[in-house]
Amino acid sequence: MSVDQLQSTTGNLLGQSRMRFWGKNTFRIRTAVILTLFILITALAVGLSFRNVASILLDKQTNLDLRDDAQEFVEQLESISGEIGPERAQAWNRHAVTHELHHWFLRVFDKDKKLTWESISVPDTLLSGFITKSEMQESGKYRFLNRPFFKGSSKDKATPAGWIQVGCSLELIEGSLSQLDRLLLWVFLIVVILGPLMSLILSAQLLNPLTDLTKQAAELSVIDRSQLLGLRGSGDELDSFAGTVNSLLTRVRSQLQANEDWIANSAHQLRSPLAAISSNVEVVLGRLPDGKSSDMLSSVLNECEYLNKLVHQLLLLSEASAIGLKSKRFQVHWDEMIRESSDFFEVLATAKNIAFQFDSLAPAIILASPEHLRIVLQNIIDNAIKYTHENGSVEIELTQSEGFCTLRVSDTGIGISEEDLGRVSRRFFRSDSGRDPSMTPRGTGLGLNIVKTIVEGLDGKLEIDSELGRGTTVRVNLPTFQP
Amino acid sequence: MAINILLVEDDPSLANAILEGLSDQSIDCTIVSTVANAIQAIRDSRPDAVILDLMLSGESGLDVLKAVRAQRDPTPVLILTALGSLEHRVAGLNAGADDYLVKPFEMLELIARLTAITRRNNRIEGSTLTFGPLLLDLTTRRVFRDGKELKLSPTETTLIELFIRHENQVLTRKMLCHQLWETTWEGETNVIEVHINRLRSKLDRGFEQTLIHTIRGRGYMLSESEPKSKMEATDPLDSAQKTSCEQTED
Repeated sequence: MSVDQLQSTTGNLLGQSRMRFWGKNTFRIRTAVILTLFILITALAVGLSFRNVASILLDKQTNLDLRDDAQEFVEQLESISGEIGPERAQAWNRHAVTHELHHWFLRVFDKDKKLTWESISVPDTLLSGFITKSEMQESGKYRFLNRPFFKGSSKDKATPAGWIQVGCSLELIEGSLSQLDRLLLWVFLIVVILGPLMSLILSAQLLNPLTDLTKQAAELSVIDRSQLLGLRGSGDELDSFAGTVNSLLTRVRSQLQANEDWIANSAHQLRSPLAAISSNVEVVLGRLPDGKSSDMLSSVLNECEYLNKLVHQLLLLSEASAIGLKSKRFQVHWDEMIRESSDFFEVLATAKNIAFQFDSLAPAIILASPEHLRIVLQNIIDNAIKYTHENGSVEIELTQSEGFCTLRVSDTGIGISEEDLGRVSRRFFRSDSGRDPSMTPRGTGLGLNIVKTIVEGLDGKLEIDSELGRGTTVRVNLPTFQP
Repeated sequence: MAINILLVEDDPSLANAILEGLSDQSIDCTIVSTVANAIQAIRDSRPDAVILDLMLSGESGLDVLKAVRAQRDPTPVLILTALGSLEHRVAGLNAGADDYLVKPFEMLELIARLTAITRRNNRIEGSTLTFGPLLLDLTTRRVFRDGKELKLSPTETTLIELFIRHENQVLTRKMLCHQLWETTWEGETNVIEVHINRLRSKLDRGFEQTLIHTIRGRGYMLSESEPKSKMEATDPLDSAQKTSCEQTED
């Protein structure tokens, strides 16, 4: 795995954890919505079923009651001979009064289906005639039962001696059902209000361990080997997720370590022979009198110096790309460093009679390696002065806004062509004039790329605006440290 | 007083170059290449200073440093290493090193630093530094030449302090930059030359004798007399002033 791949993997990992951390509410709300829907549908289904069952039960109970009553009165009629006596009629009317609430009524017909007796509570709306369609009938709001009764010899002949009709109103059932409906509606309303609330609480409860895990993961340092996600020992899905993240972290760390070892080894492998060459040449040079040989050896030394610079910058890039930048952070007073550096560089501007301004520096603290920040300043300020004509101006300003600070270095220099602007921070980019070998010390074409890598390694941003012939403005945005 | 140096280095070519370079300055040097030999040699021959390479074929030079410091031996140690990050430097200095030099280095810088760390051990620092007509008050940071105060910027005062501390020694641009700005100069402008030139103009204005001399191809030296060899009178500012205005963004 290359350093870039490694970085992008780690970047994705961090990015995802950040995204999930901020996106946790939507996930929570999604779960809550699903739970609410589930609760509402269940409540609706239960309510409807309950109502249905209640309606069936009431209906059946009514039929059963009517049948019982019919049976009883048939038996009574069969047991008496002749007319219905006033005592019996009174008893039956009493029955009707007792069941007035149901509008209970009883009618007796003779064998020619003529009404011979009826209780006091027969509703007016009911047809006075006899209806024979079936045993159980309904008319309007009433339900009634017809049943034949037999007497003496007619029993055997199976010819009924008459019919009785027992009935009652259905209003009470409907009333009960509408009462039940109202009750169910209230319950449903309460469920509609409490359901989402409970779902939110429940989903929060459910997601709490995941939220904790995400918080932990967001605070993890990729570099610190002792930092891993805590396992709760329950062996559930979250534990196995934490375990997977931990093993990924371990792999990333061992890759980082391998990369650091590689940097150290290459530094050693490249610098040691360079040191041997330059030291030997330097000693010989010190013993030679001035002359051609001495000049030649001097140029060998210059080449060594250039190679050394290149090695240094390549290692720096490699170091910066491996997010190693984050492991070597100190609190740096950025404004003070900029002021010191500007002081240091001011002589260059003065020598070219360039107006050099660096008074407007807002205080800001940055977590970074001071050495890396100096490299950033050195490249930007040096470029600004170098590419500005005599009597021009260079302005350095540091502003601070929430969590970020912006270093702006503007010059009135030669500017960068549109074509080159997109390429200036690429590795080994040299504009044609930049390849001039007479320039001393010689540049490597890595400077701005190093600046970009360092700034981005610190979660910052490098922006360059330029207009050919008008000047260049470089902006370095860096996150500030809040103690 | 002859200085005796112990060099712990496993690269024979580099070791030989350092030996030769030191002998040109009349400094005696003994070479060892392993940790065990180094510890033994420091105990037996009591060198004035040790130059210690950190990466010794499979061994760490820090072990030598730790063993020596564990014996409460104050022998000055200068670490020489290919690892130059701040982290590595801090680790080396924390282990008890007196100074730290990253490969590849300039012989002149090695010698300057060696003399500095051997002297640091012998000399008690006063509140003033003097060189010929120059006087630097370390507490007030004021500089005088023949009793007349010079108006110097803080950078220029630091420069003059460096020169006085390394009188009659060549200081390279790289060394000066490192001292003034704590970072290796990677830029393309000779900012050090501009600083030196300004300092020189303030220092020598109204005086006949030049104090800061340019040693061509090597650096600068504070001396009352003209250095004998490899000296050039030309103004080093030339190259800086000619800084091209052509586009060489990098």
